[in-house]
Amino acid sequence: MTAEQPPPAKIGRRALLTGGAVSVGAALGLGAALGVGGTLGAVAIRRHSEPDAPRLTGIDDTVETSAGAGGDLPGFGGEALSCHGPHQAGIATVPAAHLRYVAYALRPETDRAALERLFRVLTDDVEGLTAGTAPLADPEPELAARPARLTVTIGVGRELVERVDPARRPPWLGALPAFDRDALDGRHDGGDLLMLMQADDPLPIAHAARMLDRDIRGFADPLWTQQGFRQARGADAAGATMRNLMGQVDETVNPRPEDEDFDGLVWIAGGASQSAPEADPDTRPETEPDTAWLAGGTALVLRRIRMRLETWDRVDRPGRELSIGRRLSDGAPLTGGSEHTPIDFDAKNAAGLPVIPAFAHARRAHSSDPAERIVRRSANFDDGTESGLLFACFQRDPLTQFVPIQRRLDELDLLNEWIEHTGSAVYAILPGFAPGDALGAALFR
Amino acid sequence: MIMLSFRSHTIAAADDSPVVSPVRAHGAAHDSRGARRATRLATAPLLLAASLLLAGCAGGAGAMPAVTEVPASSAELAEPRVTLSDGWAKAGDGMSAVFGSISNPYAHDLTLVGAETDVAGRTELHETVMSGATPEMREVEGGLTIPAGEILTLEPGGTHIMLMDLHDALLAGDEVTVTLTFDDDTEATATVLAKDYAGAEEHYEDGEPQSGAPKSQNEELSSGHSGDGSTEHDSEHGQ
Repeated sequence: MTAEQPPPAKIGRRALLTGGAVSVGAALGLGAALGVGGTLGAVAIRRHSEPDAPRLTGIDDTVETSAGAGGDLPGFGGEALSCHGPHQAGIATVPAAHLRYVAYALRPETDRAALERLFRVLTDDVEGLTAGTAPLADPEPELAARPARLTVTIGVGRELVERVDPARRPPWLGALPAFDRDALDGRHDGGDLLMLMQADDPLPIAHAARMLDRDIRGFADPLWTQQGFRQARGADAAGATMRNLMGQVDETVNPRPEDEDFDGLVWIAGGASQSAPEADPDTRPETEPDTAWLAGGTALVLRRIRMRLETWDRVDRPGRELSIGRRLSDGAPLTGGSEHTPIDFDAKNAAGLPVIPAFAHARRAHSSDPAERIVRRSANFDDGTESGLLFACFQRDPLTQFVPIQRRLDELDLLNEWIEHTGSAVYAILPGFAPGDALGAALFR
Repeated sequence: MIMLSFRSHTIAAADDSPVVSPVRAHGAAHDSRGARRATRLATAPLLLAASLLLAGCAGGAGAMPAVTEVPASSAELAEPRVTLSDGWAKAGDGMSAVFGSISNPYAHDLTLVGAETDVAGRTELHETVMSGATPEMREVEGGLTIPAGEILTLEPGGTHIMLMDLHDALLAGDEVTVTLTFDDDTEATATVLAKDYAGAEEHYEDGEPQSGAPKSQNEELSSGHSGDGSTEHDSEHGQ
């Protein structure tokens, strides 16, 4: 055979077919010549179809090189993050400079079978977009070739799960309980299907959104879209805590993927219910949903928080620092130290008053219950007429993690003078997937 | 003759051996098709393994010696196979088309002479020619020859496998199994994904005989999706 040697590595994405072009006799002959037998195929395929070896979540953003044309050219555009693994990318991976959320509402006729087809298509889209090779039938593959660490994270809303199987809806999947100060205006609420795209370059995000939209339109209609940003890549030291548009260092206290308790706070465990481990399917109460399909997934709460920057302008720096309980310059607690020094909530000033006021945001957001924590991954937004924060947090169960925190803030938080929540959405973020699997496959099993 | 059918995700499963990442392996390729070609050829060992498995089943697995390990050298020894990579079909009603890249890893030319699929009553190999400024498609005579070691690209606006008399509307996300026949009487089967696609609306060459095809087949392939996808929807997709 004069054909070129295959590269020593890997099997090509979507290289599907083939070979009937060999006779049984030839196959047997070659098998004999190699001294291998009928079980070889099964062994080989099983080996290759195993999910990636479990990786520490903190390092699962290993950067690869885009397989698209020019993916190896200079600049970070050619950097790619794998979409495969026990969890979807874009949650524990390093936050990107740009992001876009796009929510869809399922069309009435999109039933379980249609959803299964949709996720087959989306799976290829996510793989092709993030690897840089471009999805099947992408009319603009050149726009996919430089993904700049693009991640596409897919979530499903209550309605989608119920169309597949109402018994599989986790109790938290749906609208959050109302908060007194909510000012939801209906423009950025809910939805049935969510695409979260993040990258260090807005171009691949625009392309990904367009490509996904082409493929989703047959099944769902666009509901809302929100774009956000952190700082441009390289503008600040890697790992620096972001600043929001009020000027505050934001997300200082945030579980990190390398923390021991990160996984337990974020990733949904397998099994029918976390509250009833080892529950026998026969003895399980009927009301208990079967959420095993979400093992390895997580829950996203997305709140659009509008900032009233015109009134914030009236507040001088001491007032701004007291409202949050931290210094503006470096985010350090008003009780001293540097940014990551724990806040001393008991500290008193010379007058005997708490250094961190009772109404300070940091005090109100703090919980003494270590299970009542969330992983924040927010981004700023500024559309020219309105600015604020796309507050995003991931957790196992919003009802026991985000909601109690927000209840406290809703009751009392001086920051409420200058912010209001105008949009709210909760999504079940699908578990990760291995090469060869379809995203969300467990939902349909 | 054996025919092997691989679902797309089955093969894709082979894609992520922990050894080397696919993107890294081909990062040096400036032409994405070149990169894909290389990866395609790399499928040979696995596909061979699968064919051995099936051959073993067909011929009595008991006759095959059992092994539990894949020799590293098998990749070099494996016989290459024709592959269809990046295959997909256009979702649609009545007519459709299959696209992708067919590689001929052999030292001899290979001619694709036909294709068959359960989803369509008829298939034809089509090429697109320019008639003035208008692309028109017509049936290829004598098949499509893939020179030794080369790749035949089937793409919208170019050469493709036409599916006619679809039994049911082809919906986005459907999987279509296509069997390709070559001039040396070998066959190869692949399963491809159907996708909504606004393009691929070639028109037939004027006056081309359509072997009794009804007139409606001279119309666009499109199933009704508009280019901007803004408001038009294809109700079949929700079925």
